[in-house]
Amino acid sequence: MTIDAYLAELEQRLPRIGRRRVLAEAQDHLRDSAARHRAVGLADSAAEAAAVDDFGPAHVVARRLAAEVAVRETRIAALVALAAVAFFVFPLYVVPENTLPPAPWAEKPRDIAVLQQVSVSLWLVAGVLAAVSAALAWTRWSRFAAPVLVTVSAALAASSLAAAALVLRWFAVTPATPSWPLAGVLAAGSLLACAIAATWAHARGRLLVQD
Amino acid sequence: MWDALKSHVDLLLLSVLEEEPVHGYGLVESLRERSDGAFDLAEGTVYPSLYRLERRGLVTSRWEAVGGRRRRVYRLTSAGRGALERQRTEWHGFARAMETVVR
Repeated sequence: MTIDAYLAELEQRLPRIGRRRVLAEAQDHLRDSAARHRAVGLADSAAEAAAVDDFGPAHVVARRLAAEVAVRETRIAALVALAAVAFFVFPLYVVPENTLPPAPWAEKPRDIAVLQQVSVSLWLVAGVLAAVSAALAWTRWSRFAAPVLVTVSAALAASSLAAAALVLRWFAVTPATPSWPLAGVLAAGSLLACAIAATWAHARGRLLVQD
Repeated sequence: MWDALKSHVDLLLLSVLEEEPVHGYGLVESLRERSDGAFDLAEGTVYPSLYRLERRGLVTSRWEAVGGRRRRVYRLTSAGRGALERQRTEWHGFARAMETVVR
């Protein structure tokens, strides 16, 4: 196999992130290696084939590089999820607190209070788990970050459901609450970002196990 | 040989880089020469190991002009020197223990 053909195969198999650097280094390496083989008497084509053999099968090299890239991507996913959970404070608290009219009751109805507590508690659980996932992503146990992120998404979804139930109950008491659509969009955005991060990390988890 | 080496690759790479900053091919050549050809690795697999060491802050790298060509040169960081010392101590202890058992 020629060096160019090998590099083309490697390019196809490599993850997109960091590909240019890897290919540049591989090309330098293969050219040097071929030159060494030529120096001991091999013809050009034989020298290139020997350099490619020495470098190793493209699928093996690409798999090990992909595993290395997967570590970085898992870290990014964990940070995205952490940011998404932190952002959830806006639909859960900041928007309602700043746009709702004064509460029409002297004492908050018990079901509304319970729904508030459940929603906030689930959000806090999601926050703690997201922090754990981010911490794991920076250790040798980074492959466990993805399952934790899936749990973070589930906790955030449960918090959203509790908040939605709260909205319905609140709306029944005070219909004039135009901030709810904004809160809903922000909550959906947080949840979507978190779910995408978890899915992304989960897909990379397979590579981390192989490493 | 690669299977036997896998768990010691970090120590080998850090040891070579302790001598001087070097690019990937130079590193493989140095390993081959210093081991009298015994450590003839699948050369491409050295790069994932180098990237891992770089991610852990044990080595750093940058593009430099070497011999009129632009090459990615790796060098040991101070954290890398510390890790090398620790791994070297562990290795010598392990080798001594092996030597006393396998005569």
